[in-house]
Amino acid sequence: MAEEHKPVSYRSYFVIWLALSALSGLNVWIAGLAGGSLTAWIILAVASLQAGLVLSVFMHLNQETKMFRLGILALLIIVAVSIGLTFVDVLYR
Amino acid sequence: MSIEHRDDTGARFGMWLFLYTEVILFSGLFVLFAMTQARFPEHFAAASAGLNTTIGTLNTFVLLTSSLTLSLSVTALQLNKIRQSLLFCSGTVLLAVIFLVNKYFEWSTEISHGIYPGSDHLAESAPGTAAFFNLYFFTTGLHGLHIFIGIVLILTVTGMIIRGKVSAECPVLLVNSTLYWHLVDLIWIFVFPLFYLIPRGFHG
Repeated sequence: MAEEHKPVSYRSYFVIWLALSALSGLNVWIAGLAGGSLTAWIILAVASLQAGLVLSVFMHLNQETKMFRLGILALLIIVAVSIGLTFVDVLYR
Repeated sequence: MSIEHRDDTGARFGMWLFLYTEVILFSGLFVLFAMTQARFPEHFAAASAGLNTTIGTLNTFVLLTSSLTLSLSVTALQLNKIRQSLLFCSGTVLLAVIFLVNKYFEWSTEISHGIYPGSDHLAESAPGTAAFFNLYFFTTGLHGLHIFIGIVLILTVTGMIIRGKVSAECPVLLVNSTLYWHLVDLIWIFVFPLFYLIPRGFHG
């Protein structure tokens, strides 16, 4: 059996929660400033940063073995390829 | 005492495999959203401006906080602080219920304005507007269903903690429920900007 996860301190979880809340607030603020494609990409980048924090700390990915990270990588590649192919299909119809 | 075979890493990986399929399910909806947004940017901007961003933002904080409390309950359980762990689990359920109550008020306001899938009002609206609200109701509805399933799951695990079936020595069921809950939170982290924030920046 693989080693058990060490308990993450309350403090670390609080810090991540503060960061996640601040980033959500930031996104609402950015959306109020300006519109358009650039703003959309910035908002999605901030959301992806939040996703990274949730995955690594809340979901303990930073304590898991390599297999778990490879799984996520495979998932992201599959999702990216299917989104990419769908976009190519729609754009070049 | 019987010899019990346990593979916690395997159990967690099994949960992750299930979560991969959840990501693929919702990413399909996100792709559909992006395609339709690209096709009807003005309709999407007008429709999105009709959503209640205040409730959306509030619910984002509610859900982020519920992720925090459930994580704290895992640490409490690992440290054998059973009472604290139960308290944090209950707090998570309370926040999840608050999320659904907010969603109820949000939806009922929209429905009272004649905005729901298949309504006469949407049938007469622009095609992009109808597409936006159909996707909105389907995506937030599916997400809300996941919240409801999460509540049932956390309540079940809370009962098992009380009976000592889930404990510091055997926390994997709570850990897996936490993984599920964080994924539901993670999906909301994308649903919220996609529906409430991004489209309104594309008018005119």
